[in-house]
Order: sequence, then C-alpha cells, then structure tokens
Amino acid sequence: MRILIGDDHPLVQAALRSALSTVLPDLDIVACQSLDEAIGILTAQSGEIDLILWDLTMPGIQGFAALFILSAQFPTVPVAIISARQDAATIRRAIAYGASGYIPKSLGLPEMAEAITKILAGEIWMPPNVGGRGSIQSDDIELAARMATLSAQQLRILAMIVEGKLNKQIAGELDIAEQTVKGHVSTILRKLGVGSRTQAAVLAERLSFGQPGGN
Amino acid sequence: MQAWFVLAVAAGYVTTLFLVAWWGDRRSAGGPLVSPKSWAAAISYCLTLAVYNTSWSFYGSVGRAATSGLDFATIYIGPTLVLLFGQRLLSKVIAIAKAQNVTSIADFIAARYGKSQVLAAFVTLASLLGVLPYIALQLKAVGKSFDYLILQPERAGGEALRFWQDSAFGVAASMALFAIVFGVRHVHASEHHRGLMLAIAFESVVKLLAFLIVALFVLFGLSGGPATLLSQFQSDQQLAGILSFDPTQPVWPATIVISAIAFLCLPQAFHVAVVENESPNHTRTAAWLYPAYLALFSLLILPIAAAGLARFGGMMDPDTYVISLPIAADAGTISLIAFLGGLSAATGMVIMTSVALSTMLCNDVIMPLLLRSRVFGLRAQSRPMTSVLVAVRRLSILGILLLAYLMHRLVNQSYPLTVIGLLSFVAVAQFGPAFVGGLFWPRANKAGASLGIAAGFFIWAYTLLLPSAAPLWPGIAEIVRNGPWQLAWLRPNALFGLEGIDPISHATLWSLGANLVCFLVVSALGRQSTVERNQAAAFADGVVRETIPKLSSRVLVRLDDLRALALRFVGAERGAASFDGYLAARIAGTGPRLDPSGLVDLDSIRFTENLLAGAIGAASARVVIAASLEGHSLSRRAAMAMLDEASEALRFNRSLLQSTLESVPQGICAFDADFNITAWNGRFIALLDLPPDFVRVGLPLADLIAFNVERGEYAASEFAALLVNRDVATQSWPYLYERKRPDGTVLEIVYDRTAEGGYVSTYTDVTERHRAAEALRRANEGLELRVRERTEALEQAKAEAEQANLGKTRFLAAASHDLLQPLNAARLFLSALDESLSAPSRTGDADKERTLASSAVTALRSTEHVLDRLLDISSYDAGAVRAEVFDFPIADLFVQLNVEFSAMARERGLAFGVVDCGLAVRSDPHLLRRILQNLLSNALRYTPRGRILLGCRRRGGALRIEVWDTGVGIAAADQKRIFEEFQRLAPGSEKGLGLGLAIVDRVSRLLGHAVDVRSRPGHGSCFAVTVPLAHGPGQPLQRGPAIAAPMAAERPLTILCLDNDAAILDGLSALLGGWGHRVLVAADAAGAMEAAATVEPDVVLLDYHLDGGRSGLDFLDDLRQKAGREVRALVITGDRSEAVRKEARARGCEILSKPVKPAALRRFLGGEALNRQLGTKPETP
Repeated sequence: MRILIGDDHPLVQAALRSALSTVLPDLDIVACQSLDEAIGILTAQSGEIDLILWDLTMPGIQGFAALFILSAQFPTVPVAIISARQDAATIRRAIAYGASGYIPKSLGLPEMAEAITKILAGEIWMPPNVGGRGSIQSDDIELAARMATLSAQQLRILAMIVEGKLNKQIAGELDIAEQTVKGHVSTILRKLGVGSRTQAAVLAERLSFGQPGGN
Repeated sequence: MQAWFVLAVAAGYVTTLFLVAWWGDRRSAGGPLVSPKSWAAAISYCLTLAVYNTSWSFYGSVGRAATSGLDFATIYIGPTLVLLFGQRLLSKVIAIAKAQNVTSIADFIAARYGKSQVLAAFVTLASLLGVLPYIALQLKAVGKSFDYLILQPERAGGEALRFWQDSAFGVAASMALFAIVFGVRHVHASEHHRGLMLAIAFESVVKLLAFLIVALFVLFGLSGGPATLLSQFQSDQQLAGILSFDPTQPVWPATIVISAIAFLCLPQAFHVAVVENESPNHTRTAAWLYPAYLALFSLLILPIAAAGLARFGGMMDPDTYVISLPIAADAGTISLIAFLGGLSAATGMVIMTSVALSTMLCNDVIMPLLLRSRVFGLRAQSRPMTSVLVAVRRLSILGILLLAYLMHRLVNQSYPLTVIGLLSFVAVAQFGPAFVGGLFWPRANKAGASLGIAAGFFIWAYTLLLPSAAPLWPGIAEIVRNGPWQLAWLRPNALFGLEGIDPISHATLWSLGANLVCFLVVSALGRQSTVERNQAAAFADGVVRETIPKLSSRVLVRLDDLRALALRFVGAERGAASFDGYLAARIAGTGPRLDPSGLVDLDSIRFTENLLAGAIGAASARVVIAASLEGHSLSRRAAMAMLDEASEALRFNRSLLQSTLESVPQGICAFDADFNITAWNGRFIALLDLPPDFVRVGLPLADLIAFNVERGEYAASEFAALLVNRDVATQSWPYLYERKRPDGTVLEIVYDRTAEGGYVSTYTDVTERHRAAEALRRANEGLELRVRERTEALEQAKAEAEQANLGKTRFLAAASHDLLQPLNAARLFLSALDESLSAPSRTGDADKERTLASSAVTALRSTEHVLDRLLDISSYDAGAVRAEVFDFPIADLFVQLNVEFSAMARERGLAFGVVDCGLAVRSDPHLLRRILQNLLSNALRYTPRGRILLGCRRRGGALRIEVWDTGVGIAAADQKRIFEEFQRLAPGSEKGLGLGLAIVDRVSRLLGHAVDVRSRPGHGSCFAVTVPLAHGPGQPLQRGPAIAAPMAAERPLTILCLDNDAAILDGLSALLGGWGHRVLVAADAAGAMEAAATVEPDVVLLDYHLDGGRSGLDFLDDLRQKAGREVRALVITGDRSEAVRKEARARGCEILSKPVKPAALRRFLGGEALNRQLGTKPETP
C-alpha cells in the first residue's frame, strides 16, 4: 500500500516513515510538504494512493480547508488527519468534516499501525477517550457548505487572502494572471456571501481551529 | 421877424429832430446803430453828454461872463474834472448800473441803499423839485429869445400874460409833445432810447455850430477880429472884468463841487452818461472829447460877452447877448441861427429830463401807489402793464412840464439864468454824498442817505427856494428878511450869521454840510439790513456777486403767488411752515421790510428760490421763479407737469428703494446724522418684534432704544454695545456685535456710516449658526470626554496586557525549565545508547540498550505530556474549547472515575472511596471529568498515606462535588498560589507538572463552576467544585472509550449496487451494511431499475462490464433519465482502460478499481453524505 504523508516538518516525516515501515510491511510512503505538491502527486498517481495522512498545520492551507480541497478533488482517496493537536473538539470536527480518521502524533507506534490498518479497512478511527458525537456547529454547516462550493484554486486563493496577501502576490505565487486572481476573488466573495476580503478571511479563520495565541 | 416865420423854422427844426430820432429808432430796431466799438459811437456818446450844455450855456454863461467874469466856467470845470480824474468812478458807476439794471438816478441810489422803494420815491420827488427850476430856466430862455426875435422884447419881461400868450407856454407844450412822442413810445426793458440819443447828439452838434457861428460873427463881424478884441480887453475896464478871475471866492469851489456832482446826478445827465452808455470805452473817449467841447464853448463865450458889453453896456440883459447882438446887427440869419441854437439846447435838455423824470416818477412813485389800490393790483397780475406804464409816463411828462411852467411863472423872473440853474444844481447836489459815499463807503446806510438828502434838501429849500418865492407871498418875504420867528441867525440868506457870500455858495455850504454830517453820523451809528450790506458790498466792489432774477417792471408778482409756488413744490405742510416762518421773520423785523402792497421783492424771490431748490434743484427753481416773474412761457400747467414728472421720478425711486429693501433677507434700518430713522424694511420690524406702527421716519434712535429697554429687550451687559452709548467720533466702522434676544434668537448687528453722514444698520438672524456652533462645541467636548475615557480604558487594558505578558513570560520561563529536563534526560539516554551501540557488543548490552531506549522514550513522552498540557491550557485560554452543557447523572461520571483511579490508589496503598449520588447535574461531562481527574490525581500525588474520598453534597440548587484527602495539606498562604501554573508543593511523592490545578482553574472558569479549597497542613485537604443541579433526570453518558467506527454521517444512505458478480455484491452488501447504510443489490440493469423504482437510491455503485454487453453507465443514463436527476454513481471496475475512465468522467462519475479498497469506498460515501448534509454539489475543480 501506498501512503501519502503530508507534513511540513521533515523530522516528523522521516520519523513517521521509519516508524511506520517497521510496523507495517509493504508500506510505500510518499512525502509531500504542501497541498499543491499533494495535488500534483495525487493527480499523477491517481488510484494508487491508498491513504493520505495530512497534518492540519500545513502552511498555506489552514485547517480543514485542505480537507475540503482534497475531498473535492479526489473523492475516493481517504484522508486521515495526523496532528500534534489532540483536543477532542478538533478531533470531532475533523471527523465531522469527513476525515477518515484522526491520528494524534503522540500515539504509540503500535496504536498508530493499528489505526492505519483499521482506516484502510474502512473504519473511521479516533483516539480512545474521545467520546461523543462530533457535530458540526450550525453556523459551520453553512460555512462549510459555502466552502465546499469553492474550487481548489479558489480555496488556495482564500487561504492566501487569510494570510493577507495582495492579488498581485497571489498571482505571482500561483503563477496566474492578476486579472484571473481578481475574478476568483470576486467569485469567492460571492460564494461566501461576504462583501470584502477581510470578511472572507474572518470566515475562513473559523474553519481553522484557532491559531495558537490568536482569536 | 415874423412870428409865424420863426415858428415855422422852429417847427421845421423840431420836425428834423423828430425825423432824426425816428430814423435812429428804425435803424436801431435790430441792434445798436453803429458798433459800440466804433469811433462814431464814442463821438455820439460824447455828444449826448453835451446835453449838460443847455440854454444856460448858450445864453446864461454869456451873461455870467459879462457880469462876474470867468466864474462862468466853474460849471464846466466840474465835469471836466470828473471826466479827467473820475474815470474810475465813472466806469464803476456804469458797471454797477448795468449789473443792477439801474434805469435812473433814483434807481441807482435806491439800489445801493437796500433797494428801498421809499428812498427811490424820495429821490425821485427830490429830483423833480430840484430840476423844475432848471426846466423852467429853459422855458424862460427860449421864450425870451423868441420874444426878442419877433421884436417884442417887452413881452419877455411882461407879467400877467395869459398863458397862451406866453411863449414859454408854447415852448413847454411843444416840448411836451416831442418828449411824449419820442421818449415814451414804448417801454423797453432796457430803457435804451436809441433814436432819442441820436437826436440829442444831433442837437448837441447844432447848438455848438450855432454858437460857433454867432461867436465868429460877433468876433469878426462886430469886434473886428481877435486882435482888436484882445486890445479891447486890455483897455476897457468893463471888458477886463470878464477875464477877472478870483478863485478864492467861495463861489468857485462851491460851484465846481456842485457842478461836478450835478454832472452825474442830474437825471438827464445820469441817463445819458450811465444808462445809455453802451461801452465803457466811451467814457475814455469822453474824457478828452467833452472837455474839448466845453473848452471850445467857453472860449466862444468870451468874445460874445465882450462884444455884448461893448455894444450894450448895462442896458441889455446880458443873458440875451447871444441873440440880441445879431438882431442889433440886423443879421437876421444869424439871429435865427442863434434862436435855433438856443432852442436846440433847451429842447435837448427838456426832452431828456422829462423822459428821465417821467420814468422815475412812473416806476418809483406812481405805479407803486397805483398797485396799492386793490382793484388795480389784481389787474396788474393778469395783464401786462405796458399800456398803463406808457400812459402814466406820458401823463407825467405833461405834468412835469406843466409844473415847470408854473414854476417859471411863479418864481422870480429877475433871477439871471445862471442863478436859476445853480439853484437846481445845489438841489441835485444833495444826492452827492449818498451817491459818492455809497460807492466808496460800505457802511453808508439808507437812513443816513435818506436823512442826509432830506436835511440837505430842506436847507436848500429854506435858503434858496424860499427866498425865490418871496415875491409871491409877503409872509415869505418877511421870513427872508428877518428870519423865522424873528430869529436873525436863521435867516435864509445868512444862516448862523454867515453873511457876505453869495446865496449859492451859502446854500451849498449849509445844505451840503448838513447833508454830509447827517449822512456820516447816521450811517456810522446805524445798522444795515442784509440786502443793504450785500448791495454795499456789490457797489463797493463794483461787481455783483450773484445774478438775481431781475424784476421786470412789466410783471408784478405778489408774495401770495410765491407762497403758492412754494406750497406746490415743497409740499403743503413744509412749504407753508417755511414760507410763513420767513414772512413772520420779515414782519418781525429781521430782514428788509415787507412791501405792504404784498409785492415781491428780490429777497423773497431769493428765499423762495432757495426753498424750491431744496425740492426740485437749483436750476429748476430758478426756471420756475423766473418764469413766474416773467409771466410767460412756463404756464401753470407746464409747471405742474414738470412737478408731476419730478414727483413721479421721486415716487418711482422711493418704491424701487423700498422693494429692494424688502427683498433683502436682513433687517435694515437707516439713520441720518442725528440718529433719526430715515428708512427701514419689514424684516427689521419682524426681527426686532416691533409694533408695526411704532417706527416712523424721524423717530429718534434713543426712543427706539427706550422702548426696547422698557420691554426688557436688552440684558444688562448689552447696554454698552448699543450705538447710542458709543462715541461715534472714535468708533471704528463698520461696528459689529451680536445680541441675544429674550426669545432666544441671536442677532448679528452691523452699523456702518454712509457717505452722506448718516448711518445704516443691518440685522441678521444668526441663531442657527449659534446653535450649530453650540452643538459642535458640545460634540467636541463629548468627543474629548470619550477620548479621555477610551484612553483610560486603553491604558488599563494595556496595563493588563503587560501584566498578562509578564505572566506569560514567567510561564514560558517555567515551562521551558520543565521541558528541558526530560529532553536532557532523553538526550543522555540516547547518547548512552549510542555509545553502547558503537562499542563492540557485549552480553547484557541488549538489555541495557533496551532499557536506555525505553528510558529515552519515557523521557520524551513526559515532554510530550508537558507540551500537551501546555497546549491544553493555551487552547482553554484561547477560548477554542466550547463547553457542551447538558443534563446528565453525576453517577455515570463517578463510575468512570472510580474505574480510572481505584487501581492507581490501590497501587499506592491508599483507600479510595466514591460516594454514590443519584442526582443529575447540568454541565459538560468531559470537561467536568477533566476537573475531577486533575483533582483526584493531585489527591493521589500528595497523599502519602490514608484515604481519598470522592463525594458530593447538595447545596441549594447546586451540587458540591468534593475530593477529600488525608494528604499533606496546603498552607493558607499557598491556597491561592497553587492554582497558578507550575506551582508544586514541596513534599510530594511524585513530582507532578504543577499544571493540574491551572487546568482546573481554567476549565472551571469556562464552565462557570466555582472551585474552592479547604486544607489543614498535615491533616489533609478538600477540593470542591460546585456544579448546578439539573432540572430533570438527564441523559446517561456513553460508557467507555469511543466506538471505533462512528457513523460516517448522521443519516445513512440508500445505496444501489449493480454487479454481475454475486460475490462482490455480497461483499459490498456486508461492508456497507456494517457501516450503517441501506443496500440494494441487483445483478442486471433490469433488476436495478426495479430496485430503483421501489426506493430511490442516493448513490449507485456500478460495475462497468455487465452481462449482455451492456455497461453500467448505460444503466446509469437510463436511471438518470427516469429519475429526472443526476444520480450520483461510482464505477467499480477492474477495467483500467482510459476509455472507461473517460466515459465515467464524462458522466461525472468516479472510478474505483477492483479489488475495491474499503477506505476509499468509505471515503467516497462519506463525501456524498457530507455533501448531502451540506446541501452542496461537488464542483468539478
């Protein structure tokens, strides 16, 4: 089986790779460090990736936006969150938003292997002691609905808006024309039902789990 | 000679004279006969001056020369002196006369002394009286010469002649006729009688020529030439007497003086010299020409006198020598010529004098008298007076000549001609002081002049006239002889005992003396009226300063007319007030006395003109006055029309001004220089809330202010601002101030001066502006207040933030310390491991190595643990955690905790007890559990021995969950501190992180539950959390760890599986069922269709390759068509071809390859469920 691990920390990547390969035989691990990289790999090797392990704190895309993007683009590839955060609220939310599982990085190695195996078998895995239903907050429903209507490119642009980047900068990073960026921005604003970039950024922030020290 | 012949000749001469005059009049109808600049005009002027040479010169001087020598020439010396040395005087007189439009000597004198009509009348009458003897003398001379000519000399001396027998009467009558015909044909405005003047000049030539002829005849014919005459003079005693010459005789200075005065003051002389003067240059010519004439005349007298004396001795009246000599010599022609000469001389004088006198009488005496009568006065207003004036003048000429004849008859016939003439001269000389004094002494006043003339005249009459009338009445003779009332010193001939001088000189001395004295004294003491002063100044300067509309004698205007004019133009009220005031003033005495006849005088005209000028302008006023005086062109209607036009213009301007004022949004009020209101507009009334009829033109500002003060308009502080209280001289303009009215409106008031010296004030309502300014000010203050408050709040927040920051820094410092420890330990372990592995292996190493590795893991795990806790705390701080509060039975929680901690307690050898409780609480079980977990861990940690108890107590509406331990306890001082981060109590069996209570603190704050601690060091502690009780039983908590496979979605899906492989169908069915979905299976399309018909599938799982060559996608198309919607589908196929992929993609389907991965399938289904929940459709990227 082939697992795509998306984590921006190279140590963690390496550690995961070596750790997992000891407990899971026949494991082929592909690494990526950004959503674009991930999309590229997935597009190239469609159908061959069995699982994506995704870190919520990847740069560029905050929080569950990546989840949306990956689900939208590759609806048949399971995405499990692997994250240092392990508070119940985040875990519940991740599952509620369609993650196939939530693996805290502090999990023991055998447990981690067990979790991956179960996920691949079709289960939705959560760490024990996290009870209760994950419910999507009512306002999140609407927000998630709106977010779901955004295309991958738009989600990407939204993430950059949240970072406070200007159209010109966005255009430069995504390597598209500024006019195209403007078009996307107006579409984003329309879909999100907001009037300005600032409002869009605020909404997008809600989908992230709150920056440490922020909010 | 035959009388009829002489008469015919006389008549012929007179006719010639008439023709000359008539021709002159005809020719001069358009203008002067000759240019005034020409020498002919000058010569003509001089010749007219020769009217001074009457038959007195012709006959009388010869007689005088024969009797008393050269003193005959005195009467020629006077005029000569005047002409030679009095040019300035003469030109001045002429200039003044022209400027004042004087027509006679009476006019002139009256004009000088305040235009007094009375004085004019007086002078006229005096002249008449004075000149009558002179006229009488002419009559006598001509009559006598006529008598001599017709050889009836006894007639001349005869008395008791019937008047029709008296030649003198005839002469008088004929002269009257001539004078009437020629002098008074019409009344010219300028009183020039050009024809007459020409006739006078003509007769001057005639008389000179005649005299010359006679003299030459006498000289060469009778005396045998000049040489013989000269020798005769030397030899003959009598003849020598002719040339006797004694200037010391009083007669010389007296006669010279009076003749000099008479040369100008005789009516006829004044007329020809001044009134008829056409050019001032003529006097300069006259200065030498006339004295030459006189000199010639005088020279010619001598031989005649000598011849007469020689021939007749003392037998013949020497006055008649001129005619008797030729008669005696039988020179008929010469005697006729002599007669004609005499006639000519007399005629000239008589005509001229009568014309002048008649003018004076008419203008100054008769007409005023006539007009005083009501009837005549009324007529005078409407009709021109020309005919009346002419008639009056003609009548007066007749009267004069009649009087002259009477005088001739009554007065002593024995007087020589000269004496009679000098009689007149003395009388006329009484005008001298007034005349000359008036010219050079501005102080000379009317009273003085009148009195002087009166005194002089009285003395003249007394000393000269009375004695000459002596023969008529014996009483007079008595007075003459002895003086009145026998007072010798009052004898007419010798007043005050002055004897021994001839009567003329005597009379001259006394009369002129008294005249002068009275004149000087009274003028010096008396005062002058304004008019007199003006006239005095005008006469003294020789110029007239202002042009006054001249009084045409044709139209006479009454004061009532002027008054009516004034009323009409100035307005009834004001006009009446002004005019009546003026009249009252004049009646009261200031100003010249009003003419009792009600006629206007120049003063009233000037006053009215001024009055009118105030209303219609000076020019229009002049026109109106002049028109009313002239009595033509500006009819009343025209004047009314002009007035109406002017009023209309005024009205229009006034209404324009008013409408302009009304349209301005400000209130305006204009004042004159004395602060009386002159104009205002409605807005002014409105703004100041004044009663509308209170403000009127002329209302003083002080009254307005008093009114305002009364109704409380001003605040006390504003009085100083009012304009009336300010010094306008030092005020800077414009003057602006604001005032608040009692009703709250604020007025901005601006005062400014106008060009004409008045003031104008504007009032603007600036209440809005004030309000806005007020509001702005308040907003500003409010803003400042808010800014201050915010600043304070900000400072406070900043302080708190800094505090928190400091707290965080401390926290981080502590945290770092706690993190480093295990990391160091882990590193040490791993280093040891590394060492061990690099060294050659020994037995027992594997165990040791395993121990080292696991120790490192443990150490790192504890680091993870710390960081987890820290992340927890931070997430609580950040507010990322939300409490999900609901009711649940507390027993469920207790059970879990019991399970968790009883084992641990047993390990430590502690007793652990949980008290059951059947109540339900309202809280978040996870978070509450967190709190209790931490409390229990602490209890375990800090209790070396004894027991731990978990229980609860009911407290009102809340449940107090307590954790008791018999541990080390906490000092009172530390009970607060322990809730802070990284706080650990010293003695503890196991070192905790010191974060537990910090978490408890935060979570309890999040839940809103109170946490408290009771402790006794050495005995134990009790931590309690107070939780609100639930109202109901609550819902039980789910036990144990989470179910590993919660539902993917809240709602299971209906899934239709289509595959020709039954095994796969079974597998799918089991898998999907396990996940909680509803599964429909079909092996073929038909079956699938059937199944779909019963239950509508949410998702379809399709196999591509179906039996019968059909593909799953075809079925999908059919299904979609049937269902009418885009049914979601997933193609599960072993076919990995690109074509299939494309086909699927074209229909918006995903593909999964066989063997199917459960996770992938689950993922897909989860996505679908999520989409359904969110109500979204997945978009193609």
